[in-house]
Amino acid sequence: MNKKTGLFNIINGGVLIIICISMLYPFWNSLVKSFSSNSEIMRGNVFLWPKGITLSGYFELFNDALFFTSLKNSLYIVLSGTFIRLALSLMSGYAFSKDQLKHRKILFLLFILTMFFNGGIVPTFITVDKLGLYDTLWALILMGSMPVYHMILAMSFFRQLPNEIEESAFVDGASFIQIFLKIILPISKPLIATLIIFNAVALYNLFMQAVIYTQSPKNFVMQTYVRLKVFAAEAAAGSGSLETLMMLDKEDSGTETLKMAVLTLSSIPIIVVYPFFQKFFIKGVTLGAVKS
Amino acid sequence: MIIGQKHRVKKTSNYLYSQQNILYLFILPGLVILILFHYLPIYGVTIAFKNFNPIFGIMGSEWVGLKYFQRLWSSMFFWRVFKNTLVINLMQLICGFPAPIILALSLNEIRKTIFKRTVQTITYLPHFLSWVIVGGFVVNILSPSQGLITIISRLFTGEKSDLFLLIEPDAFPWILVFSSIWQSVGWGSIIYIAAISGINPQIYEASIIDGANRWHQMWYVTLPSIMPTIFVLLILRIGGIMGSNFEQIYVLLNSNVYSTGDVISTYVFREGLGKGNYSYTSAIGLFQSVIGFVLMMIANRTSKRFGRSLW
Repeated sequence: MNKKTGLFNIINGGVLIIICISMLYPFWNSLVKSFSSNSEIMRGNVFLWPKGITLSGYFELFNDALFFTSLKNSLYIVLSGTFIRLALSLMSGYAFSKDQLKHRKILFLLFILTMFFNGGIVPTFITVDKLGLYDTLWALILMGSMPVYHMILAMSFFRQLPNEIEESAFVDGASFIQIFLKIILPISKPLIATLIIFNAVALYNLFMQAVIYTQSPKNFVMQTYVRLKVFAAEAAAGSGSLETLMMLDKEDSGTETLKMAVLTLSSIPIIVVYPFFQKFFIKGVTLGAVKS
Repeated sequence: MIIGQKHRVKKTSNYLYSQQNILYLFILPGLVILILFHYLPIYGVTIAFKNFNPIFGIMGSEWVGLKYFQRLWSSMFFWRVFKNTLVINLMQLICGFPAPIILALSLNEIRKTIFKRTVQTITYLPHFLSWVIVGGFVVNILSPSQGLITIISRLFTGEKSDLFLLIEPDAFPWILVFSSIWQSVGWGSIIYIAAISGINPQIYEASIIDGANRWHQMWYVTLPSIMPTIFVLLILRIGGIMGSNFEQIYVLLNSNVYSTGDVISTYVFREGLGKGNYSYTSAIGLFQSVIGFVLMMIANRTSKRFGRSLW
C-alpha cells in the first residue's frame, strides 16, 4: 500500500511538473528568441537557449514611435479607466447597500439586466459612432465603465460592515457623501485593491473594443500594436489568406526577433505585477463564488 | 430620558429620509453609462427589423419586418457559422470543462505546500494574458519553420515539418480547444480548490478507518463533495454555449479555416462592420442572443429543480 501511494505521488507530481513546463515554455521560448538572430530562428535552431545573440529586436522596438504611442495610450486607458470603473462601482455599490434607497429593487434590476442583455456588436457600434466616440480613446475608457459585477462585490462588502460605524456619524449630522468618503472608503482598502487590480489588468488587455472602436495609429493601444507586429501580414491583408500566412512564415517578412521582442515585452507588465496581486484575485474569485 | 431617546431616533430617521435623495447621486453616473452603452444599443437592435440607412438613423430607417431573418434562414453562411459556434463550444465544453477539475483533484493530492503553491502560481498566470499574446505564442509554437512542432518533427524524422496546423480546417478547432485549456485551466481550478478545502476533514478520517486508500478518497469523498460546484458551473457553461470567445478566434482565424473556424461573432464583425451589412448582422446577433437567453433560462430552471438557483 505504501509503495502504491509512493508511485501515485510520483506520477501525480510528474504530471503537474509537465503541466508547469508547458505553461512556462511559450514565455521562455519567446524570451530566448527575442535575443536570437533572425537567421538562427528561421533555421529552427532556437529552442531553449538564445543563438546568435543580438539586441536588434529591442533596438528596433525602441526606435518605433508607434510603440511609444501605444504604450502611452495603454497607460492613459489603464489609469483613467481604472479610476472611473472603481469610482462608479464603489458609489453604486454603496447606494445599493442601503435600504433607504428609494426604488432600490427596480434600479437594481436595471443594473443587473445589463449583465444578461446587450445590443450586440453592430447596434453598439452604431450607438458609439452616434455619440461621436468612434476612433477615440474615450470609447475604450467609457465602454464598460460601469462593471456591474464589481458593483455587486462592493455592495456585499459594504453590507457586511457593522451598522454602528455609520449610525454614530449620522447622529453627528454627517451626510452620506461625507460618510462614504471619510468612513467607508478608508476601511474598504482590501476591496479597493482587488478592484483596482481586476480593472487594470482588464484594461491593459483590452483588445476587442480597440479593434472595433478605434482605427487610426494615434489611437493604438498595446494589444493592437502586438497584433500589428506579430500578425503583421495577416493584419495588413485584413483577412489572412494562405499566401499571407505562409509569407508570415518566410524569412523576409520582418524579423522574428522583433516579433518575439514585442511578445516578451508586452507580457512583462503582467508578469511583473502578477506576484503582487495573486493574493487579491483568489479572494475576489471565491467571494464571487459565494455570492452567486 | 425615554422621551428624549425616542426623539433622537425620530430625528435621525427624519434626517436619513432627507438624505435619501443623495443616494441617487451615487447611482446616477453609473446609470448614465449603462443607458448610453447598454440600453441605447438594446434599442438599436430594432434595426434588425429595418433597412438601416446611416443617413436616416435608427428611427428614420424603413421598417422591413422579418426580411433579414428570412435572409438569415436561407443563408448557407449563417448556418455554417451557427454550426461552427455550436461545435467549437461543445468541444470546448467536453474537453475543457473537466480539465480544471482534474487539476484541482491532482493538486489536492500534493502534500508539499511549497510545490502546490508553485504549481498554482504558474498555472494561474496565463489567464492574465490577452488573447493577442496567447495567439502570438500559438503561432510561434506551431510555425513550421521555427516552432516547437518542427523541432519535434526533426527529432523523429530528421526533416523540418511543412505542416502549418493553423491553416488546416480539421486542426483549427482543436487549436482553439487546447489554447483555451492552456490559458484557463489554472484559473478555473481555483473555485474547485476552494470547494475541496471546505470539505470536513472528519469525513476523510472516517473513510481511512473504513480502509479507503487515496484513490478511494478522491473518488468517494472529494469528488462527491464538490459535485454541487461542478454541477452549477456545468449548467452555466451549457447556458453559454451560443456565445463565443471573439478575441481568441479573431486573433487566430484565417480564411483557410473559415469552414470550421468562422463563428457567429467573427462573421458578424466581418459582414457587419467590415462590409456595412448593419441590419442583416444585427438580425444574426439578435437570433444568437435569443437562443442564448432561452438556454440560460433552461439552465436556471434545471438547476432550480436540483435545489439551487444560479442567481
